[in-house]
Amino acid sequence: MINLLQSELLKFRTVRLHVWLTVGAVGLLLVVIGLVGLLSSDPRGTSPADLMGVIGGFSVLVAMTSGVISALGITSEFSHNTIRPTLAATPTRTNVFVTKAVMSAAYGLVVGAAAVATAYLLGGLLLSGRGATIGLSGNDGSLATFFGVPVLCGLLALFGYGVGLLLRNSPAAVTLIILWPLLLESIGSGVLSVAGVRDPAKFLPYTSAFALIIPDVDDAPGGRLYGGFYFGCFALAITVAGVLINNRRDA
Amino acid sequence: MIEVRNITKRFGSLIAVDDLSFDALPGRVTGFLGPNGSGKSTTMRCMLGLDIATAGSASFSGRSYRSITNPLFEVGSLLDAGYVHPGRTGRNHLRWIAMSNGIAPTRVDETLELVGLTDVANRRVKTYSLGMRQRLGLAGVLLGDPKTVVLDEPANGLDPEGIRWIRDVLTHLARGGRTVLVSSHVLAEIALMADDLIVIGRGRLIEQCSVDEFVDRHTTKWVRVASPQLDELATAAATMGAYVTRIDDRLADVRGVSALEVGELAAREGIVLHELSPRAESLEDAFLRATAAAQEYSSGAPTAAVPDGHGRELPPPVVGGPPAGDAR
Repeated sequence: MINLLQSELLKFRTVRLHVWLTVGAVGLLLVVIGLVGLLSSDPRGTSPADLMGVIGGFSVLVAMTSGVISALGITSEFSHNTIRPTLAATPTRTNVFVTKAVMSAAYGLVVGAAAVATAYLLGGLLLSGRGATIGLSGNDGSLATFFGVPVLCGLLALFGYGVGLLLRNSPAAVTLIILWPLLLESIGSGVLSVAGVRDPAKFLPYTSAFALIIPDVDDAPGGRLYGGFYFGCFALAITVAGVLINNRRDA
Repeated sequence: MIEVRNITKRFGSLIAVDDLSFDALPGRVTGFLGPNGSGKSTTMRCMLGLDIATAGSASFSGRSYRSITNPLFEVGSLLDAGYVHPGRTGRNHLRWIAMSNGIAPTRVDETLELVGLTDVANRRVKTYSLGMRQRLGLAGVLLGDPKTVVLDEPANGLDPEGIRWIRDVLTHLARGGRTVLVSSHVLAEIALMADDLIVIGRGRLIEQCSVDEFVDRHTTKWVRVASPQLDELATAAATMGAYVTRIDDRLADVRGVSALEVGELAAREGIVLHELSPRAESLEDAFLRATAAAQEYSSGAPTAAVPDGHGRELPPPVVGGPPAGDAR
């Protein structure tokens, strides 16, 4: 299993697109936070929760990119047919697909952690230099958001991998990952509201997961743990379905 | 040893492989032949568990492929040289394959050296020619120094030196006791390297035998003679049931008797011979004849004479040939 994990990691990091997309997403987050730190009109009035709110909000971009990259990681295996030498080298398909899932989730977690840590460091430095008092606290939700960002990135990477494994097609998988929060859950929310369901957002996995990156948890239905757990179960279910289906399909 | 037993593969209503069984023996190169669309590649994918066979099984030294841990030490396979990510370097492509089976990184450089790609190992695969990709694929096959080698059209895209090289490699592997199963449509290559043949058509086994047996069974043999006394020879041969086809004033083909019999006949009758040589059709002729009924796609032969570009006209090609049979 260790050999397989090392092999998959090497495969993943030796594709330039993965590296450039990751650098681009994290770079964009840092640019935004840098601008906030430099241009904030009231730096003294900026609280840690405010900073983490901005970081959390824009880290959605990093999380979605993690999902897209994870999806591309598996769909490109099918489009370039490298899945065949992969399964010829490791015929136990479940091992291959589970290892890829673990690696995708770990990739999202690490990238999310790196993104939130550097963004916080940059924003904190810039705002502190302009008189703000910045520090993480368990009381205002800033600490929870700090840890919530990597978790969301990890879960979205797992979700992206699962979607990619199910669809085995890059454009379809990327479109679905992007349209899911923008379109599908909006439609889902509308349908549930019309059906008279109270708090429909609670039943929408993607929307629920945003609780992980909001300092003020009152804005999120169900709370952080619920949101993370619900979306995690959803991403896991899609991945398990992908594994089961691919165990029975021709490579 | 490879044992394929009753493999069937359906794609919806299409039966790509139909109850196919054959063996490939250690120490021998086994050629796997069939017309386009006959199911060769599908069979190989089923053998390796990449396609899920509708029925049947394949085993390598008694074990199914899926039950082998670190199979690269047991079975090396190359189904298509295009199964690489174009953005990855050749070395990294081999490194991930090696890592997955716990093969030492030094072996990657050894195999790159073996296939002659050391100088371009750090170039992205998208810059490789088809021949270079074939060599990279073969490096992947050799990584684990496997006991069994399964190759689908390995000579595709290789230049004459590369074709010669792969022939030597496969022959060397077989002489070392390994089982080598290789499909190819370059029949001249198969004729030079294979010991045994498995011929399939429309997913079914047509024949499994040695190359010599196959050629014997499906080709015509005749004797080419050169003589200033062709008329006398034709008369004498007719008494033996043979028939003579004159090529020109001096040359003729004698069918229905062996070269030995023609020589003895000429000596008996006092006929001068300037040439006496046994002739036979090629493996290609044998293959075309054996699979004639199983050709999925065949083109119509041109019927009119075509210009050769020098103002002359070339005759239409002869399709088929005389009925197969042993000229003794």
